[in-house]
Amino acid sequence: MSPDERDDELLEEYLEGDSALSRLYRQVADEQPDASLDARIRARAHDDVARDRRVAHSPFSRNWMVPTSLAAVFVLSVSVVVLMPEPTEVPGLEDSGGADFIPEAAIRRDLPAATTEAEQQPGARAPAQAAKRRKQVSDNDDSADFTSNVREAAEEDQEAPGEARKEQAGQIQILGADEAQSPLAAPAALKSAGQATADPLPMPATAVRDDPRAWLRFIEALLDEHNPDGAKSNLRAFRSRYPDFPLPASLVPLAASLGTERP
Amino acid sequence: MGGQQDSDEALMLRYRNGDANAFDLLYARHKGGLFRYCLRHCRQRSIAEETFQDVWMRVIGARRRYEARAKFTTWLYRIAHNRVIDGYRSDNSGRVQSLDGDESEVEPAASPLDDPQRRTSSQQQAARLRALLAALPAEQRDVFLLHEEAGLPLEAIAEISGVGRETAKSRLRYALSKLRAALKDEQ
Repeated sequence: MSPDERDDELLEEYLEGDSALSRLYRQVADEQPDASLDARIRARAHDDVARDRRVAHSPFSRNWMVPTSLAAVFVLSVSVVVLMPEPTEVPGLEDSGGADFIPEAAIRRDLPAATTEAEQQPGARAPAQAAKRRKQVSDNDDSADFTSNVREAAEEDQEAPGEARKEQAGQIQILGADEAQSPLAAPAALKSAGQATADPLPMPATAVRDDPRAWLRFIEALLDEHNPDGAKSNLRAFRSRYPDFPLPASLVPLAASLGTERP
Repeated sequence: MGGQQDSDEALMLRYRNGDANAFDLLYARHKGGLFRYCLRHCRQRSIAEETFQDVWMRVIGARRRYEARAKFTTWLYRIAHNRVIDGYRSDNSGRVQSLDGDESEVEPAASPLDDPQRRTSSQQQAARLRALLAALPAEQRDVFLLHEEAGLPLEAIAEISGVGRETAKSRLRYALSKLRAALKDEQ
């Protein structure tokens, strides 16, 4: 047996744990740490556990953890809302030409009793409410409320049912579909208003009167709704403002009856 | 609560979960072997105690992160091994080199032939063995101590030492060969 093989054999014997060298070493190996060192290490180990328990069961964590967390969430939420930049574009107004919509006060001046009456009708109520809301929005400086109110008003517009909605659709290109008090809803509203009031002389919004073609369409609509008095008064006012503007064929007989046309 | 029959890993998990008594059991099991491991590597008892305490502090500090992925003994002695290596690196004077329990520096391992009166008793042999261990190269002493004090197999010793199994085996073979030769000469 070579020396290397002998060494390997001794190594295997040693690793099995029953060698003379191991027995001899066990006689040597009797040193122990001091009792004070033992106590110090064990105390540290116990302190570490106790500290965890104190943290878990401290009065703060037991009584104040939840309120503190809620307060922190609240503060963060308010901070986010306050610091949030104002929107540069108002959703819902881009398509409706809201930048130049007619204030409700002006509309009421144009349509004194009829519009108020019209608001009571199911078809016109929703647009009227939307107009009121926009009025509130215009007076409101709070951008967040502004945005939400405008969005709600736009949604109410979407919900406007019935005839008023259909009539709005016909003139939306002219007026930008901006207002409930616009001529889009006026003829239908004025129809019932004419029955209830002694002076059914509907006048369109200023924006319509500024556009002769739109005003003529308004007059035609009045005729279509069998309101000749309203049509006549409008045509008379139209002629006084636009004496030379050519009339459509449908309004020529009415103009002739008024005697306003020049030869 | 179990305790005495629990494995090291189970005790450490209990300690992690807040059972301080589990640490006491674990400490009682390993304090002797670990202390001697440190003592054999350090020249002074005070340095050995400092090293020993530091190893346990690291165990305590790692309590919350402990997972029983390896044998507790392997983990414990890896910490100790690394701490001893740090001691060697920080003390180039070579103070951390020897065994012996007292504060005085240990004599270099004398050749058995230097002693005029041959010591034949087992007690004398034991004392001689400590001196021979101190004279071994640190790597060979380390593998010997890891096997004797921690009861680790070659694979675990190699893992702790960061070497291959054959390297660890070779170191152990050299250590045993030197110790046996020295003791044989003495008899």
